[in-house]
Amino acid sequence: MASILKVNTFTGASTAGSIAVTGEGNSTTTNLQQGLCKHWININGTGTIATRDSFNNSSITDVNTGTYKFTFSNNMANDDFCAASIGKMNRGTDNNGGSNGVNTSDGEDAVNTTDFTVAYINVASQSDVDVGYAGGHVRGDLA
Amino acid sequence: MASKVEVDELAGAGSAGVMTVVGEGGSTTTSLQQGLAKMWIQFNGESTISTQDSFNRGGLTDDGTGLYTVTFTNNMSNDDFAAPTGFNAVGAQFYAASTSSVQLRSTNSGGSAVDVTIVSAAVFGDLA
Repeated sequence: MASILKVNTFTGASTAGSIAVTGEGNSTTTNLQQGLCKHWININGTGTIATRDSFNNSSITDVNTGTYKFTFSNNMANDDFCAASIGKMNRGTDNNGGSNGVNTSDGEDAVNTTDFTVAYINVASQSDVDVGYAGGHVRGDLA
Repeated sequence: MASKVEVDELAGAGSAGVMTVVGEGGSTTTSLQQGLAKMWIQFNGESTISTQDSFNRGGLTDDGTGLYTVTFTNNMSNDDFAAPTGFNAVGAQFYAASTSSVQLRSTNSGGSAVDVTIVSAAVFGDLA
């Protein structure tokens, strides 16, 4: 029994896109493909927005103040995926904490097979705000 | 050296639930099991709530305005897991946890609970 397996690609033998993995408790299995993050990104959302690092991201769009769209390199199979946002506001006299989420309030579709959009507001002023750290991560079915 | 392996199930050789993968830098390893989401879901939390898509979701309960419970098909070993969220709401809260479920709460800018159309959450931790 090999203790180290060197391989470039895993594919399911019965179904290419489905491989079971034994869980931490050694009693149940989870699914490799379903558990993998299909996209993640960390951007600077102030000034000219810029990607710090990312996975499966082809482009970013500054939709408007505090709202950013992330476009995938490899698309999702549907728009029912789980998308979570991350963010951080720079604290100052004008900032009293921030909040972020998957967004639809600016007329953008929040989740599509090709992209998803996140938005940030200043909780104190209730206004949209650009943030130094914005991003998100996606779980779901690749196309 | 195989460049492609076709397999239906992976398990650790030393301990079934422990497998490592060499990281991007080529010098350290990360845990395969710990890196996998053990549950994820997207659902519509308005009116009659409905799951759009999910993994390892056993059930979904509307606990009241802006309050939802997702139960697992395969439970976690403890209630200390992480649950990142993404709602189309100002507040997207990981509200409560047990080995068999996670409770989520959405709020408006005033902090009051509110139903929303997109509720997304994932769970990272140890499977039972």
